[in-house]
Formats: sequence, structure tokens, C-alpha cells
Amino acid sequence: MNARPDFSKFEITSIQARKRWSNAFLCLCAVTSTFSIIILAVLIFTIVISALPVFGPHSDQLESTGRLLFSPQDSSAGREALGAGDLVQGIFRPHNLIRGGLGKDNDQVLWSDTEPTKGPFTIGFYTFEIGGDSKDNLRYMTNAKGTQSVASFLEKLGLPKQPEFADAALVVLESAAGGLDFEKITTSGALVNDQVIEQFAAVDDWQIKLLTGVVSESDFAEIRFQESNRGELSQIRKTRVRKRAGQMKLLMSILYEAGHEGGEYADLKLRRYTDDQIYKSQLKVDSAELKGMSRRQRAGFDLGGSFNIEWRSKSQSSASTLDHITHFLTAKPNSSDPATAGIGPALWGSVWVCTICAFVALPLGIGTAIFLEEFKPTHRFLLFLQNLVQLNITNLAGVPSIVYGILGLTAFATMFGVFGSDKEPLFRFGGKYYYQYLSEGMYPFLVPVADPSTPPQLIAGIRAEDGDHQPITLNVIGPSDPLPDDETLLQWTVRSDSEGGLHPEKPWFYFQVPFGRGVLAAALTLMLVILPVIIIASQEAIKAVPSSLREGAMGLGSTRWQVVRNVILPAAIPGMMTGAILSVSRAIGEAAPLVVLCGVVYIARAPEHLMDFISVLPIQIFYLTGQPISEEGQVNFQNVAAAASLVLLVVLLSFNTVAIVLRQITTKPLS
Amino acid sequence: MSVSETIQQPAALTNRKLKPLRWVRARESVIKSGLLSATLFSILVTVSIVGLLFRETVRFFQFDRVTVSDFLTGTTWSPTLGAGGQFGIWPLICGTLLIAGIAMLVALPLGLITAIFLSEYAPRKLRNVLKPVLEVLAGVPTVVYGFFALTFITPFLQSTFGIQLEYFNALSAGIAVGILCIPTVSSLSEDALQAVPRRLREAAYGLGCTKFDVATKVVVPAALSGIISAFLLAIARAVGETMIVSIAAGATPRLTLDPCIEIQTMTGYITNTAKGDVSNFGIEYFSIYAVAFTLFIMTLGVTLIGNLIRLKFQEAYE
Repeated sequence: MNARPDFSKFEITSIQARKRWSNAFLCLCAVTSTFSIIILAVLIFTIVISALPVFGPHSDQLESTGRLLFSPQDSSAGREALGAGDLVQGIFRPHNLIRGGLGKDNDQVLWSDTEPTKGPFTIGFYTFEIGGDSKDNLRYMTNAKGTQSVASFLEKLGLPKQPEFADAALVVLESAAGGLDFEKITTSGALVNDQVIEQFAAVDDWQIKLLTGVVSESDFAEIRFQESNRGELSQIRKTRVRKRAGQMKLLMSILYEAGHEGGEYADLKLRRYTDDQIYKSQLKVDSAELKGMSRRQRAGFDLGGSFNIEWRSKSQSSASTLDHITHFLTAKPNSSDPATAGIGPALWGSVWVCTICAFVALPLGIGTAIFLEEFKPTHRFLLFLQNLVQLNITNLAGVPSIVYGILGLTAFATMFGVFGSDKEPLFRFGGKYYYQYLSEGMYPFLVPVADPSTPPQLIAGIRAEDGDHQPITLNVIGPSDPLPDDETLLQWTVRSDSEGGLHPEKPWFYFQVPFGRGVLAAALTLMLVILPVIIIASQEAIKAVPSSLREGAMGLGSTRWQVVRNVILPAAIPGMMTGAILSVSRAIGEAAPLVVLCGVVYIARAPEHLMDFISVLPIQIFYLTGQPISEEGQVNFQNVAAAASLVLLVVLLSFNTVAIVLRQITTKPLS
Repeated sequence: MSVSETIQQPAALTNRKLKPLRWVRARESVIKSGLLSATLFSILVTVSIVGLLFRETVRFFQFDRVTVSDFLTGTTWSPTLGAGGQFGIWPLICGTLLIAGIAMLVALPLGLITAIFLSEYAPRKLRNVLKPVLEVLAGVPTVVYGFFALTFITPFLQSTFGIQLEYFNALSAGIAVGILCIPTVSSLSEDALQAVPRRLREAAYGLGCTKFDVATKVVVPAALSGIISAFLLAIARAVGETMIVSIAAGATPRLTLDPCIEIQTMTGYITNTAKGDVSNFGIEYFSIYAVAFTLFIMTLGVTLIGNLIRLKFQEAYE
């Protein structure tokens, strides 16, 4: 017989007291558990509330305006408008750009056109320019985002830091892809005293909000700007200021992309800078009329002094909530006007990336799970190895996704640098390359080239095509030859020293090695992120198949694969599908690896081939949350971010619902 | 079932197509090697992560301006200051730990109590609501949490509790990360609690315990290893969380424990550097590898311990 426990050592609490404790704890439990429900409700509520202005009725007068300062003959007027640190800016040329900086004392406007000393050089996505009249007298430099300090750039270039430089304005506008069709333009900023003081001139959505240019000492300047109203109305493709016989002339070549049915119009005004009078108002077009019309129009203005050109466009369509939603889901992002911003390209980017990701990750993950569960080795050492693999996979699931982004960047996007760089890939297939020029008659044309790295020599009889790929005959003249008077001849007249920009045309099957920071690399990177999740979920599903089924099939003489194909897979597929849906929804919401891989850049269109640059929905939200909040207007970027989040949440919630319902239906015991 | 019904041959027998054994074996081995290579891919991923991070980290330390000892002991992280820049990892580690600490203060109690409630108390109907809610909470994209922290949590803390917060601050980012971690803690802990055999509970009830006694004095201690592993995995998740801190915690590396001001975490630094225009060969570019390597080692260590505890614990009741 065991000794009786020593009851005197027990502390006896009354049953009432213990029940009170128990009930109190139950209350605590219930409150805490409902906390997650409350949080979810508050989260969704907050997002819906902040998203409402985007979809709700807001001003029908959607306006976008721009300003362009010209002071062709005497730049004093322009200088008055500018202070130290101001943006002095504005020459786009095909391929590389513009740069200009205002000197420390506001007394010098420097253009790299007239005195380039260094560059352009490319770092990552971006092209940088640095210039000045000599290496020791560095005046200005450009930088794509204005986020880098001056010193670090100078260091990269091996230049000594100039004290006077610290006070100068730095300016940036940049096109990464080059050519007349920008694929991406980054925002610009100005650096003063090594600090980013402000973001100037948002040009990242084909819309130049503030473009100020001072033209001095140079015979012509050309400015290209594009304007989009609700993403699709019009593009003013190219303008050029030319000084001829003492008279300045602003020429414009305009390409419309009329798409919207509403009564929208673009309105271009020339406003005299000095007295603020509207000098000429022209070019009022209705997009409805434009449909089916000739796509190219020309307009000329005589410029006699300093001008402030303003353009604005309006939408007078009265849009319903449904229209707003459709617009939001299809339109381009817009960094200057939240009311017209959309998420179209990012949405398509997400669709592309997640589809490819699922197609790669599912076979790989399910295959691994089958191997680990159904092809267990008998040898002890092999079994140990298998356990190691298992532990490895479990740990991979815990690796921060940003680490996968770094891996993807190195392994897929640049392929460790063994196959050449992104811009100069070792292998490419399917692309056609052109150099795009602007003729003296202000018409763009294309010259096909075999090797994209060398621009063609413009000689008489060279093969050339116009914008619609119709062959044309070029009239090539020398750098200082007089222009022909005949308008039709002038149309395709080009000077032999004209500079062109690379204009690649890549069809959907375009392929290159290394993959570059595009769709395929992004999909493969996300595949790495979700692979462990899929493996683990599939393993769980396979484990849930009772071994009696397996043994029965084995007893009938099936091979292991026959067991898997005919017994295990049919029984485990619902469970696997649940895991697959949940992991794909993780891929849809994942941003960190793609921020590293793709960068946060402006993308104006849906991807067209596997190597195309993309933005995805979470990156778009990340970008939007970083935008400044303005108190003006009914819609600001926080609202747009909320609306994009709402779209993402709706997609993910429906995925989750499908997964949960699928699991509820299929969790029947199989044995 | 009527008697007249004739017994049909199983479809498997009528449809069978006999193939030569050689052919079947060949196919079997092809499929097996295919599946094996799929499995080996995950090994390849691990090896390439470690190899890549190690190689590039070595290249980072080959720069004249950085030394391993400065990196590991330095208290200033200012990579963009050019030649005067310093690479001491501690401000970033401090930021990361601050965020993880705040997150755990939120996630551990809430997650554990939710798990106990789900496992021991909740009626079936409530369970059927709570579980999907937790799953949805886990599935909300982290960018959305970041946005939530910025636009709801910070203003809420300011207006309700009167805390002086900077626009970007560690507190609200940490709370958002904590919310993100609640489902991780609760579902893993619940698995651990569920794995405690019924007989232990029944024995305790037999001794006259209340539900509370059973839960806190029997089930939780019995499942402690599983709960600790859940905690560790949640910590790893909080340390590796990127988008919330990039959006809501700011971008100023600071060696501070003040949660009301702007800080920067390791993940935040990587995003902030990689999203912009960093040179492919500059020191900042390689610094992200060094930071990522540190992050990887930290999370891997925590995850590894967590998983080992979990595996060991699983065996204990089988």
C-alpha cells in the first residue's frame, strides 16, 4: 500500500473562489479572442472608409496643368523666377536627357548639351549625368531620385568634393529605357547642401507638372512632354523651340491617343510670361472627334519673348461610381493627380507574375512533397538525409522573404553576372531594334538596326520607316545645309548629325538571358518564397490519406508511382488545392522580395513580354503610401493607397474563402 | 440493396492495360529521379542563399572603409555619408529588436490566450468563426498592415492615449507587426495544446479541477515546448518582417529604445537601399548583403531552435 498523500500540505481554495477565477479567465479569453475579430473589422473599415473618395463622386472637372517657361532670347525673365535650388530643367533629347543646373549665385545656367564632360553612365536602372566645364569645376549632376548624397556620387566618380557644389541645385529627369517612348521615368529631386529639399517636377506619369526650361546660348532646345488626362486622352509628343532668323518658333508634333468616349479635350495655351496674358490659345480638340481622325497634328506658334506655356486638360464627363471603379482598375498610375490615378498596369503585373509563379511552384512543390512522403528510403543514412531535407524546408519557410528577393536579384535577374548585363544580355531572341529620330519637319521616324548598341550612320538611301512602319525615303542633308522650303520634302528631311534614341520593339515571345528585372525573374523569386509553404501544405494533405488505402493499392501490385497517381493524388488533391490557393494568395500580397528585385519605379503599361518591367499591386501600394499627403482636393494618395489595398483585400479574401470552403467540404474522413 | 444486382468487376480490372515490367520500372525510375530533383531544388535554394550572402558579404568587408570589428561593434550606421560613412550594424539590430519586442508584447499574450480559448473553451460555432478570421488576419498583405499602422494606429494612439508620436515611429509599426504575428502564435500554440493527450485533462478533472486549473496548470505546462517553439517562430517572423517597417517605422537608423520616434530595421534598410538607385558595385550595394546575412543568421537561428523544439516535442506524445 502506498502511503497516503500528506493532505496538510495542500492549500485548499474554496470552490467558489476557483470558479470565480475560472470565469474571470473565461471572460479574458473571450475578450482577447474577439480582439482579432475587432482588429480585422477595424482594418477593413478603415480601408473602405479611406477608399471611398476614390470611388465615390468627386469633382468631374479633372484638370491637369503644366507650365513651361521659355526665355529664348534673354534669359533674365526666367532667372527671376528661379531661386537657388530651383529646378532649371528641361531638355529631353531622344535617349538620354536633359540636365541643367543653376549655379550657386543664380548667374549661370549650365547645360550639358553645350559642355558635357562626363557621362552618361548607368548604375542599375538609372542613367546619371554629371557635367561642368571641367573636372575641377563641377557644376551639376543628375541623379535619378535625388536620394543619394552628393558626396557619395562624387566618390563613385573619383572626383573630389567641391564646396561650391554643395550649394548648387541638382536636377534630375531620366528615362531608363530610352527612345522616344519612355518606358519609365523617375521622379526628380533637387539636392541642396547634401539634402533633398523637395521633389520637383513630377514627370513620372507622362505628365510634366512643372517643367521649367531656360534656353540660352543654344540654337534650339527641344522639349518633349506628354500629357495624359485620365490616362488616355492625348499625348503631346514633342515640341521644339527653334531660333531661325532671329525669330523663335515653337513647333509641336502631337500624337493623340484618343480612347475615351467622353467629352474631354486638351487645351493648350501659350501665356506670356511677363504680363501673364494669354498669347494664344489653340489646339482645342475633342477626343470624340479624334476617333478615326488622322493621328498626327501639327501646330506652330511664333515666340517673341518669354513665355509661360500652360496646358490643361479637363474631363467633363459625369462619371458614376461604376465608371470610377472601372477607371481605377484600368488606368495608369498618376503621381501628380490622385483623382485620376489608377492601378491598371500593377493589376496586370500581379496577374502575370502570380500565374507564372503558380505554374512553376505547384509542380515543384507537389513533386517534392510526394517524394518526401511516398518515396521514403529504407536505408538509415538516406532516411537521415531525408529528415535533413525536411528540416531544411521547414527552415526555408522561416527565411524572411526579403532574403529571397536578394537571391532572386542575383540568381535570376543578373544571373551572377556570367551572361552579361541586363542591358547587354549574352543571349536575346525575338526583339527588333530601331533608332528613332525626329526629322527637321518634326516627324518621328525609325531606322532599323541589327546591333542595338551602335546607332546607324545617317546616309542617303538608308532604310527608314515612319511611326506606322511604312517605308519612307529620307532626305539626308549635312549639319549646316539650308533646309528645303518644300513642306513635303521637309517632312522627311534629316540632318546627318542628328541624334537618335534606341527604340526596341519586343513581341510577346521576346526572351533574354539573363532575365533582367522583369516578369519572369519576379515570378521565379516569388516561387522561391511560396515553395516551402506549398511543400508543407501538400505534405499535410498526403499525410491525411489513410495508410490503409496506400497498403491496399500496394497489395494489388501497384508500383509506388501507380499508388501515388491512382490513390494518393485523387485523395489528397483537395487538401493540396487548399494549400496551393493559400500560398498563391501569399504570393499576390508579397511585396518585399519584389521591391528588391523590381525596384519601386513608375510603370505606365501592363507587361508585354516575359522580360518586361513590371509593377505589382503591393509595390504600387507601397509607392502610394510613401507619397506626400496633400490637404487640397477631395482625393489624396492615401485614399488611392486604400483603394488599391481594398482591391488586393477583395482578391485575397475571395481566395481565402474558396480555400476555406474547399477545406470544409473535403474534410471528410477517408478511412 | 437488391439481390438481383449482379456484381460487376471493378473498373480497375476491366480497364487494366498490362505493360511490360521493364517499361514500368523504367518509368518508375524516371519519375523518381524527377521528384528527387524537385526535392534537391530546395537544398539548392538554401545552399545558394548561404553561398551568395556569404560571398557578397566577404566582398563587402574587402572595402577599405569597413572592417568586421567595426561592423559588429559599431554604433553608427550612416552608409550614405560618403567617405565619412560608418557601418556599425547595432543601430539596425536595435531597431529590429525594438520592433520585434513591441510585436511580441502584443502577439504573445493575445496569441496564447486566443489559443487557449480556441483549444479549451470555445464552443464549436465560435471556433468556426474565429479560425477563419485568424487565417484571414494572417493572409492580409503586409503592405496593407503598413498602411493601417500609418493611417489608423498612429492617429489612434495619439488621440486616445495622448502619446507623442512622430509620423513614422516604432510603436505603431511594432503593434502592426504584432497583429500580424497573432495568428502565427495562436495557430501553432493551439496545435501544441491540442496535442496534449485527453487523459491528462480527464485526470485533472477527476481531481476536481476547474477548466481554468486544467488549462493553466495541466495543459499549458504539458504543451510548453510547443508554445515556446511557436513563440520563437513568431519572433523570427517579426524580425524578418519588411513592408510594415518600411512603410511605418521610418528610415533613420538609431541606437535607441524609445518607441515613439523614427527608427530603421535591417529589413527596412535593405528595402530602402534596394528600391532606389544604388550602384551595382558601390559599398552600399554590398552593405545590403552584409545586413541580409546578419538578418538571415538571426532568423535562421531562431527558426532552427523553434523547429527543433517542435520536432522533439512532437515525438514526446507519440
